[in-house]
Amino acid sequence: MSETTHHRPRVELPVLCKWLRCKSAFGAVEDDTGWREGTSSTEAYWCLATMEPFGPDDDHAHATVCRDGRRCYRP
Amino acid sequence: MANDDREQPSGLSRRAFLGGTAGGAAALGILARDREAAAAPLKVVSGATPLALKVNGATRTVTVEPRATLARALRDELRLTGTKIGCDRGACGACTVHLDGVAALACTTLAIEVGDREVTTIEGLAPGGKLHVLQQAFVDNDAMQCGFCTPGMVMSCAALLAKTPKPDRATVRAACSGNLCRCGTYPKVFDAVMVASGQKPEGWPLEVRNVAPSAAPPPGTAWVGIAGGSVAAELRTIPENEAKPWPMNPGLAVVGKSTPRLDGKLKVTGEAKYTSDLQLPGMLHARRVVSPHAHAIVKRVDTGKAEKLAGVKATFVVKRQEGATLVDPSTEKSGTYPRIRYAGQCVAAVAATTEDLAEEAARLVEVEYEVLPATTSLEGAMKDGAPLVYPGRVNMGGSAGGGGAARDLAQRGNLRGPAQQSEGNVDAALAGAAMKVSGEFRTQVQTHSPMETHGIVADWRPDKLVVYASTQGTATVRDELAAVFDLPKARIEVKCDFMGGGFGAKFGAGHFGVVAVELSRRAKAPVRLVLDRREQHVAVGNRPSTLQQLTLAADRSGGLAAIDLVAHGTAGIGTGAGVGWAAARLYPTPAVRTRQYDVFTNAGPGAAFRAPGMPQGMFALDQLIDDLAEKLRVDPLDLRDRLDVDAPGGTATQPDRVARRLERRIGADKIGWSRRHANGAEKGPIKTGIGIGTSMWRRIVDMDSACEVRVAKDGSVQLRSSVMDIGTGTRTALAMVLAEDLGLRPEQIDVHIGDTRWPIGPASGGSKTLVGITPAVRQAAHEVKAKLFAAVGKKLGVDAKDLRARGGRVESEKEPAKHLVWRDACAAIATDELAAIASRPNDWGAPPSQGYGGVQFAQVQVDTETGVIRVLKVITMQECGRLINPLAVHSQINGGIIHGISWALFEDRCLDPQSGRVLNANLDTYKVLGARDVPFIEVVLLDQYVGLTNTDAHGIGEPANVPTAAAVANAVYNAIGVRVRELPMTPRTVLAALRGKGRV
Repeated sequence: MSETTHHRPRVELPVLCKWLRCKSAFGAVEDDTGWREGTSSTEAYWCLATMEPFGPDDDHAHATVCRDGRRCYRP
Repeated sequence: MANDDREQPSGLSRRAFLGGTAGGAAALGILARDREAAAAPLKVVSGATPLALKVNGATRTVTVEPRATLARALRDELRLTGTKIGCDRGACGACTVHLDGVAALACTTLAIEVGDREVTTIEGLAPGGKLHVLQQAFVDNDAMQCGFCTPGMVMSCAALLAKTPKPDRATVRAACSGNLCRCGTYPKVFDAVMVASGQKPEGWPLEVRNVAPSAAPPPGTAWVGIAGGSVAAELRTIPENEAKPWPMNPGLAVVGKSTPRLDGKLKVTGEAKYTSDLQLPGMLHARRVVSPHAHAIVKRVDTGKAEKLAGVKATFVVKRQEGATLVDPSTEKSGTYPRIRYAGQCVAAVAATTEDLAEEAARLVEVEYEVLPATTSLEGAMKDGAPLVYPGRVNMGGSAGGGGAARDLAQRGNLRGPAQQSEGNVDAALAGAAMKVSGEFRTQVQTHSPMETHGIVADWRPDKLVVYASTQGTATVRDELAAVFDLPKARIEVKCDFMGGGFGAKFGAGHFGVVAVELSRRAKAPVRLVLDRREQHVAVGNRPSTLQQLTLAADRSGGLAAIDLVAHGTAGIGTGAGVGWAAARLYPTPAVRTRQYDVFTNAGPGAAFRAPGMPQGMFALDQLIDDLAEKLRVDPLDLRDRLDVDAPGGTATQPDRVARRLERRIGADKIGWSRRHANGAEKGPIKTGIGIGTSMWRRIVDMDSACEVRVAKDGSVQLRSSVMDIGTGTRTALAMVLAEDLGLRPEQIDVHIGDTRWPIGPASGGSKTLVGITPAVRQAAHEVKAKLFAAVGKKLGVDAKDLRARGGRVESEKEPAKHLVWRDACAAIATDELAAIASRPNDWGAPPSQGYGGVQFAQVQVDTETGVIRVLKVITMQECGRLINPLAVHSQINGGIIHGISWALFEDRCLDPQSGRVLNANLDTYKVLGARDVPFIEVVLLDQYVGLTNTDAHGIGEPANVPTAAAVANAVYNAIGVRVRELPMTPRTVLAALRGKGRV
C-alpha cells in the first residue's frame, strides 16, 4: 500500500510495462498511486513474463524500472 | 547434476518416505531409519491392491498401494475430502479422524494398518443430516473462519467429549493442541466445546458499544460519529437514484446483529469444497521440479526420462523469453533458462495421471546446474563483495521517451533504494532537540502458512479456460491468465468457493498457476497443482525481515520535533521489505525523514502479508514512544493523547484519532493501567507487565465492486458477485446487507460468490472487501426493489414510493394494513424474475483522513530465569465503521491478535546460510501459536459512522494485527525493565537482553 498518496495534488502517473503486477495493481483504487510511482516501501512486484520478481532480462521488477526504455518493456 | 530438491529433510512426507522403501507394510517400523532410503528415487510400487476399510459404518473397498496413507485413501479413493491435508506429516491436525473412536492423524496412518478398526470421518460424525451437538456449537459460536482446519478440529474435540463429557478448560486446550488454526479461531473453539458439553462458555468477551439514534438521518445528511463520542448528522451530497443512508445499527433489523455464518454447516460437516479437494473427470496431477540451489545457472534440463514414464501426459520447462536481452551479459551468462536466484525456484513441471506418478516423473527430470555463490542474510548481502542477486542497474537502453522517466532509485550491490520521504529539516531538528530517544529494532521473516497451501486446478478447454483457484481474488487470477495466455477475459472462468486462508499471499495466478494452465493446455486435460507445505514456505511469499534504526526528537514538554527512520529489509529476490508509514504518519511531526531500503538476498520472494510493513513499523515506533514517555516522566497514554492529533499541537478530529483517544481510555480501565507498576519493579524471577500497542490502517476503496441481485416470482433471492470469502464471513455479511434492505432473514438469501462469471468484486485483501462491495449490494437492492415495488404498488393500489420491505413483507409506510407477505409480493412480478446489477457508488465526500484506529493492551508474564514469555491477556478496542456482523468481526480480531502474538514470540523462517535452503519448512519445525498459547482476549467494538457510503462498512483484517507485537514488547519492558528489540522474543533474545543489562 502506498504511504505517499494522502492529500497530495494529483500528478501524472507513469506508464508502466504491461507485464508488471503487484497486489495494489489489481482493482480500481483511485487514490492508490504509490505502486505506480514506485514510492511505496512495501510493494512486492512481479513480472507476468516470468511470474517471478524479475523480468525477462533477469533484473528485478519494480515500478521505477519497468518503464519505457527497458529492453523487455512492453507497452 | 540431477535435481535433488526432494531430498531435503524437512520436505518429506510419510507417504513420500515410504515410497522410497521396499514397501509400506514393512516400513512401519523403519520410520527412524537414516535418510538414505528416503533419498533414493521414488519407485512407483506396482501391485495396488484392494483393501477393505470400515468407514462411517459401512465397509468400503479401496485400491491402494501399501504406502498409501489413510488420508489419501479417504480423499482420493472414497472422495471423503472433509479429511484435509495441511502438512502431510502429522503436525497440523487437519487430517484428524477417529479410529475406534480415538482421534488419529490420517496423514501418518497407513491405510493398511487400519485393519478392523472403525474409521469415522467428519462426514460420518453425525449421519442422517443432523448435526452433532459439537458441530452445531461450532456453527453457533462461529468457531471457524476459513474452515479448512474445522473438520479436524471438530474430530479432535468430538473424541474428547466421547471420552470426557465434561472437560475442564485445560483439557479442552490439550485436546485440540495438535490442531492448528492459522486464522486464530481457538477462543471460539474452546467456547463451542464448553457449550456442547453443557458447560458455561469459557468467556472470551465481546462488548459492542452502539450509538443511540435509531432513526434515519435527515434527508441530505448522514450520521457521523462513534460510540462514546459525539454524533451528528452531517450534510452529504447523495445522488437521487442512490440507496439512502440507513439509521444507526440499533434501528436496523439484521445488520449489526451477531449472525452465525451461513456456510457454517458446510464447514463443520466437511462438505465445503476447497481447491485441493477437487477431482475433475480425467484430471491430471502436476508436480514441479525446483532448484535445490540458491544461486545457479541452469545448464541443461532433460525431461526425456520423465516423458517415457507411462502415465506422464505433459512436461514443461521454464525457459528464458525469446529475444530477451540481459542486463549485463558479462555477469549474467546468457542461456536458455532463467538464472536461479533462490532454492525452490521452479525449473520444470510434469503432469501425470496420479500424484505418485507425477512425483516420480519430477524426479526423473534431469537438471544440470552451475552452482554460484549465494548471499542469504540481510547483513551479508550488504557487505562489499557479496554475491550479487541482480547484476546492477536495469539496462534502460533504447528509447526513453514516453511514460515518464524512471525515478532514480540507486542500487549499490544488493542494496536498493532508499524509498524516502522527507518533510522539514530533520538534521536541524535533531541537533536542536531537547531530548532524543533511539533504538535499533529487528524483525524476522514470517511465512503466511495458510492451512490450505496454494493450489489451482486448470482446465484448458477448446472454448474457454476454467480455473479453480485457492485465491483471494478471482478477478486477479483472471487478469493475469488473460495477459499471460493472451485470452479474452470473457473466455476465462475463475472459481473459488472456499479457500483455506491467504493473509495476502494469494493474489494473482502465481508462477505455479501459470505452469498448471500451460500443462493443461499441452495435455488437453484438467491439471491440479497443489503446492506441498515446503513449497508454500519457500516460494510463494512471506513477511520480509527488517532492521530499523529509529530516532525520535522532542521538546521538553513532549512535543515531537523530528522522526528519523532508516530501515533495511529483505524480501529475498523481491522488493517491498519496507516498514510502511507508521513512523511518518501516525503522529504529525514538523520534521520527518524515512529512508527505506530493499536488500536482495538469494531467498524466496516476499509478498503482501496482513498490513504489509505496519506491524514491523509499529513494533519500533510504539516502543520508542514509551521510551520517550519514560524519559519525559509522563504517562505513555497521556503522551499518545497529546501526539495523536490532526496537526502538531492541535486537536484530534479525524475519525481514527478520535477513536484511538476513546479506545486508550477504555482499555486503560479494563487492563488496570492505573495500577501499572514501574518498569521492572516487581520482585522475584517471575515478573508481569502491561503494555500498549497502536493500530493504524488506510481505508482502501476498490471500485471494481459490483454485484447482481435477482428476485424470482417465487420469492427466492440470489446475490451474485465474483468477490470471494477468504474466511472472514463475507458470504454472510452480504446476505445480511441484502436481507436488511429486502426485509428478509439472511438465510433467505442465496449468495453465489467466488466466480468471475458474475459481476466483478474486489479481491479480499487490504481490509477493503466490505468497504467496496456492500454499497454495491445496497445499490442493487435499491434498484431491484424499485421494480418490485412498482408491481406491488399496482396490486395494492398504493404509490410505489410509499412502500417499504420490512419483517418479511412489503407494506405501505402510510397504511401498513396494505401489505403483502414477501412471497405474495414477488408473485406480483410480471416476469419470472427481476434483476439488477449495480456497481459501487462513489463515496459521498472526502474528509481529510479516513484511516482506521485501534488500540491493544497486553499483559505478559516473563520468567527471567528461563526467558520464557507468556501472554496472559490482550484487550483490544477497535472501530471498523458500521458493524455488519459483530460475531464474525470478533473472530477476525481474535485471529489478528493471535497472528500477532505468534509473530512476536514464535515464528521465524530459518535459512541455512550456506545453501540458502529453508530449514524449517513445515509446521512441525516452523512454530506457530497453538491452542495452549492462546491468552485471554477481550474485544471492545465501537460502532462508528463516517458518512461516506450507504453502508459505512469498513474492514478489520489489517488493523487487528498491526499493534499486537508492539503491545507485547511494551508489556515485556514493563515486566523486566529491559527492552527486547528483536523478534521473535524467544528465551534466547530475552536472556540476552537481560544479560546485556546485567540482570541475570
